[in-house]
Amino acid sequence: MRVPALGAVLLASCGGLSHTLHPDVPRPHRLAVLPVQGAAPFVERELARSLLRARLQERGYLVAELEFTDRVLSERSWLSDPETFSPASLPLSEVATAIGVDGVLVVDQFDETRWNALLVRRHALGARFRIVEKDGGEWWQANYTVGVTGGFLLKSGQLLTELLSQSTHGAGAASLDRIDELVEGVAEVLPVDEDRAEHHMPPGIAAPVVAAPVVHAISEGLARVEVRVEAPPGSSVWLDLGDRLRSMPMSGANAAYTGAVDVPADWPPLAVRVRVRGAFGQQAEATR
Amino acid sequence: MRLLRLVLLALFGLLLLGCTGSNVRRREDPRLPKLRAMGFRIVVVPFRTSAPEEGFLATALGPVGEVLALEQSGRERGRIEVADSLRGDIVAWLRQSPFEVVEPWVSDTQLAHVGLDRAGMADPQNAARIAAALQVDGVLFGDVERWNRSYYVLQSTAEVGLHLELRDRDGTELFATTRTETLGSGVTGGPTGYGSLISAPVQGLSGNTLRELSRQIARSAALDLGGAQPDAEPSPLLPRLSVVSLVRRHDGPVQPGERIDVLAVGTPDCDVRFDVGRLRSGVPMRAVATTDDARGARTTYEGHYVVQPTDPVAEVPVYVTIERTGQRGTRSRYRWDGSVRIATDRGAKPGR
Repeated sequence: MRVPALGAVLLASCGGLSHTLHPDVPRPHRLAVLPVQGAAPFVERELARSLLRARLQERGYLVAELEFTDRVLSERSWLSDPETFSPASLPLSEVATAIGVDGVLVVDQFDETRWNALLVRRHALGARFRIVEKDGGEWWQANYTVGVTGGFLLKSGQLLTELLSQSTHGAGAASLDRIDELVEGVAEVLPVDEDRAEHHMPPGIAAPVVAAPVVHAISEGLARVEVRVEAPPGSSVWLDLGDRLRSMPMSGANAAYTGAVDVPADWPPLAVRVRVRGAFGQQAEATR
Repeated sequence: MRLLRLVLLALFGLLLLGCTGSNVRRREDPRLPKLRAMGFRIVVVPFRTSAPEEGFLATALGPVGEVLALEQSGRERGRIEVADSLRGDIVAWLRQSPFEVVEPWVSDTQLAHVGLDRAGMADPQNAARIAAALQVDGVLFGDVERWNRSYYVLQSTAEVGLHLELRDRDGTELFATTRTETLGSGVTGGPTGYGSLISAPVQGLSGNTLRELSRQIARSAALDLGGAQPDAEPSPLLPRLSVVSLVRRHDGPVQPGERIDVLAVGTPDCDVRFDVGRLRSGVPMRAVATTDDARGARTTYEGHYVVQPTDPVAEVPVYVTIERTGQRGTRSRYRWDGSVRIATDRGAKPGR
């Protein structure tokens, strides 16, 4: 009974990279990386996502900023709690259109295996990766597991090496190693976007138009400053009140954005500065 | 005779024990943390590989896993591959730092247009010229100084060394680090059986070992330059919050015009912000009071978000982030144990 179990464990510990490209599906150039779903700790999933974005940029893709992606997902009620996010039932075509990209990278089943029975130990990370084009076609998919298997049984003779490895097994640095290896490995099999000419970069973003702020008393000693702005639809917009309050996020639909801040009534009138930012980091600002 | 053999083996092992480990040298200009916090835009130019050639035997036994070797045939290509691989690792990790990194393909193209070849781009003497051509604040140069496997029959060592140098736009050095990581395999691993006596040193020559070392070295160097170590234990200097809460419980969902009020208590003189899920990130909080008693100084921070009619219907968590003012990269994040419900006129969809 124990021998088959051990055999199964050893087989399960085998991992590798398999990937498929569908050349009949149009190749996306602008991508968004969705939050990563899986049983691995949230911090690790976040790091993997951020590294994936960096590696995709390195491969020639224009990748939407993560904060921008998350805001758009949240505004459409596709994302509420990032720690329990699941892309399973998302309308991926709609998601791509809303973010302004022509494909989304979906990562799920991001799981970590970490066990140590001294004689045999295993620390592995694996996930499924898919790039879905804005019309819904799956352009590329990969499954990848990276890991280390060790233990005194397998490292027979190398006792000092194994003792050192046991001391670092499953530690934060070891997880970082696995994430780095996983992300690099999977990015390496993704075709380089040779056609990364600047025409994939959207033009600069238009400067916002800021209306005169409206100030009204809301209680004794407190006033509400309300600001209305016209800005390109979908962009991220922030409001500054002089040097006293910086980067208050504003809310908007279509091109009309609003924001409000309650300030002490005795604050002097402050200059209003509004900044807008597009999916790929294009920026503009205006002051009133 | 047998005893003598064991003693000799142990002596040999001890001599090689120093073959596993890392060596770090580092210089940093005192201005760098401030420049980093202000949003320093840098370009990472192509790296050089000045590492000496590997021994013939190591090269011949080396490609057990994969080839990334400074082989004698096709020598230049191997050196460029090694340099590009480490440059890619550095760029990926610097993108996790406060630095703004120019797209390498964009910078390579622009520098080629101003007449610099690969060697010219990699030369630190050209820092000012490169910075002017690309309109950046700093230029990062790299040199793979060690990329080597050594084979001594009973023992092998793999070694990677990387030198990084960040120069200001006027060419002055802001940061320099030289890291060398070495991994020994073989008799230093412990009492070795006859089989592993031969196989362990050969396994240590695998290209995978070098790649693993290089990934590790690039990550450490980039995080060092970026001023953060995500895998490090929390430093006592890291700002902390002891309390994160809503100022008052709201009966039912928060309506347009109403406020989500958040309170936090923690390290004084910090930049503290809260997130309403991922819907509104970085809402500023203000220091409203500071107390200093036997438990140390701590500040109360308060902030609010006024719900707008265009906000969606949502139920979202609240996170508070604290970082030292002017020191991006050393931040701590806390999640409030609860969620906030927002109700507006916008149609409701099931949250995920």
